[in-house]
Order: sequence, then C-alpha cells, then structure tokens
Amino acid sequence: MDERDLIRCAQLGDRDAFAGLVSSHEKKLLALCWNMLGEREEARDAAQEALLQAFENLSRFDAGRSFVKWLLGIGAKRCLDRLRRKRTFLRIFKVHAGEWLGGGEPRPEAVAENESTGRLLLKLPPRERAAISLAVFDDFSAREIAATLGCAENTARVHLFNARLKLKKEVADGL
Amino acid sequence: MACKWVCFAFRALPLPAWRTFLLDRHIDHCPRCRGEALDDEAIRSLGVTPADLQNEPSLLPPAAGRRLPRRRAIPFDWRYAFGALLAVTLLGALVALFRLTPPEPIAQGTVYVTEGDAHVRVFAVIEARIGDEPARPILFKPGQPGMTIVWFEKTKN
Repeated sequence: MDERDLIRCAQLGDRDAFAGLVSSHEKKLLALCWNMLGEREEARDAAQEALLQAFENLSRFDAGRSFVKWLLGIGAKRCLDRLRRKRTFLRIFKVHAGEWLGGGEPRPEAVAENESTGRLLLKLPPRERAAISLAVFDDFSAREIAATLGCAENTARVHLFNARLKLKKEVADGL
Repeated sequence: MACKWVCFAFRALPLPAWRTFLLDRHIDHCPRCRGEALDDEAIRSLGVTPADLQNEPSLLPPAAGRRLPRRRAIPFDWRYAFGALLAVTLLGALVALFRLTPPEPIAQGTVYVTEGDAHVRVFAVIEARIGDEPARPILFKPGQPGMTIVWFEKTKN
C-alpha cells in the first residue's frame, strides 16, 4: 500500500492508515520541533499536536502536494505558536517573579530560555530558526518556507541569509 | 557588485524579483559572501537530525501503533472504477438486447432494368415492385463517372 492509498484511507477516517502514513515521517517532525524548541518534552508535545491537527485537517490536504512537507509545515507553525506563548509568559514572569517566588530575586536559570543544550540554533529568532531548520534539515525551498511562515518569498530568503550569517558569527565566536 | 551593498540590499530593501535573483546569484557564487555564511553541513551538525532520534518512542499512542491498516475502507478511486464497470455492463446488456430483437426483413422485390445502348450507357427503370406492391425508384449520382446508385422504396398509399 503506497502513500497515496494511505492518504485516501486516512481521509476517510481510518486511524490505522494515518498511523501507517505518519510512521515514516514522525522522526523528521520530531527533529524539526526539537531544533525549534530545544527541549525534548516540549518538542514531543508540539509534534503530537501537529499530528492531531494534521489528522483533523487531512480532508483539506491537496493530494498534489508532498505530504511530509505539509506535515512539517504544520509542525513549524505549532512550534512558532509555542515560542510566542513562551515569550509572552516569560515577559509576564519576569515582571511578577518577585511576588510569585515569595519576594526573592528571580533566578536567571528560571527565566532564561533554555540554553542548557548549548545549541546555537536556539539563539536565532523563532522565524529565522524555523526557516533555517526547514531549509537545511528538510529541503524546503524559499517559496515553501514563505508559504509555511505566511510571509513573502523574499522575506524567507532574508531569514535564511540572516540565520546563516548569525550562525557563522556564533560559531566563530565560540571557537 | 560590492558584497557589502549586496548584503545591505538583500536585508534592508523590498526588491523586485529580478534584483533578488541577481543578489541570490551573487551570494551563491561569491566566495567572500559564502565565507560569511555557515554552510548546510555545518548547520546540520548543530541540530538534531532524524538519525539521532532512532531510539525515541513513537509519537503515536500505542493503540494506534505502527501497524499497517488491517481493515480499510474502499479507496475512493475504486468507486469510480465500479461505477464505470457497471455502466459498461448495462450498455453491453442493452446492445445485446437490441441485437436479439429480429430486424425487419428486407423486402424482396423485382426490378426490371433495360439498358439502352452499351456504348451510350443509358438505362431506364421500366417497372419496380416490392413484393406485390409497386415501388418507387430513386436515383442517386454520387459524382463518380459511370456510377449511378438506384434504390427503391415502397410507395405510400
């Protein structure tokens, strides 16, 4: 049974077909989420949300497109949503940390974004991180990145270019 | 094209597509610009790849598992195939039914044709009958030299 048959069966509501369909792509999805979020558990949560959303919206999937790219696009959007929520939470937390922690000073490690992994990708802004992850790890073109991130193709190119420059600088600084 | 100008233009300005194309080409081919950006291989080494996640448990709940579908619905295209097959079968049955119906027998008649002169190739229909009834001759000249088609039909009462 090839991928197209699995998609058709899954579109008719067959959960087993959906499981068969995503089983070959879930590692890619998880890797993308991990690269964007930097934490295993959060990446797994985001990837599972993406799978659920994909299952719910499978009837709208255009069979002419690549399924894996469609799935990864959903995953990237879920990660961007999470990063946006996280930023908002951290902003609020920084303001109220004193009250919430009983008058003590907020501990830097409690409010800092997860840098313990030391991965330089996490130092990029979310959209640049998404663009470079999709382009380098999943072979998305600038046009596909633009469609996923909801921006112009030129903007996607700029995100990619900036990300490459910043990473090069970070790597050079780290040496 | 100056590399600094390219970087500035690429990042700062909304550019028409043809200029973006030129800038892209410059960035792809200029060793200096390429040197300032990290290449794909190096970026891959910074992140997690699917190969690193081979031991990760599946994202799907165990109930869904990794089994291929046991019981599956009829694929969508098969419905069209069945419909087409049914239509062809019905059409075949209709054709067979019409063929089984005996056609109306061709009326047998008697025609007397008298040719005048063999060289002149003139003929006249003296009498035409279908069965016991007189018939009406109809002549048709298709335009081919020396060819005349004659057929007869029953005259209406």
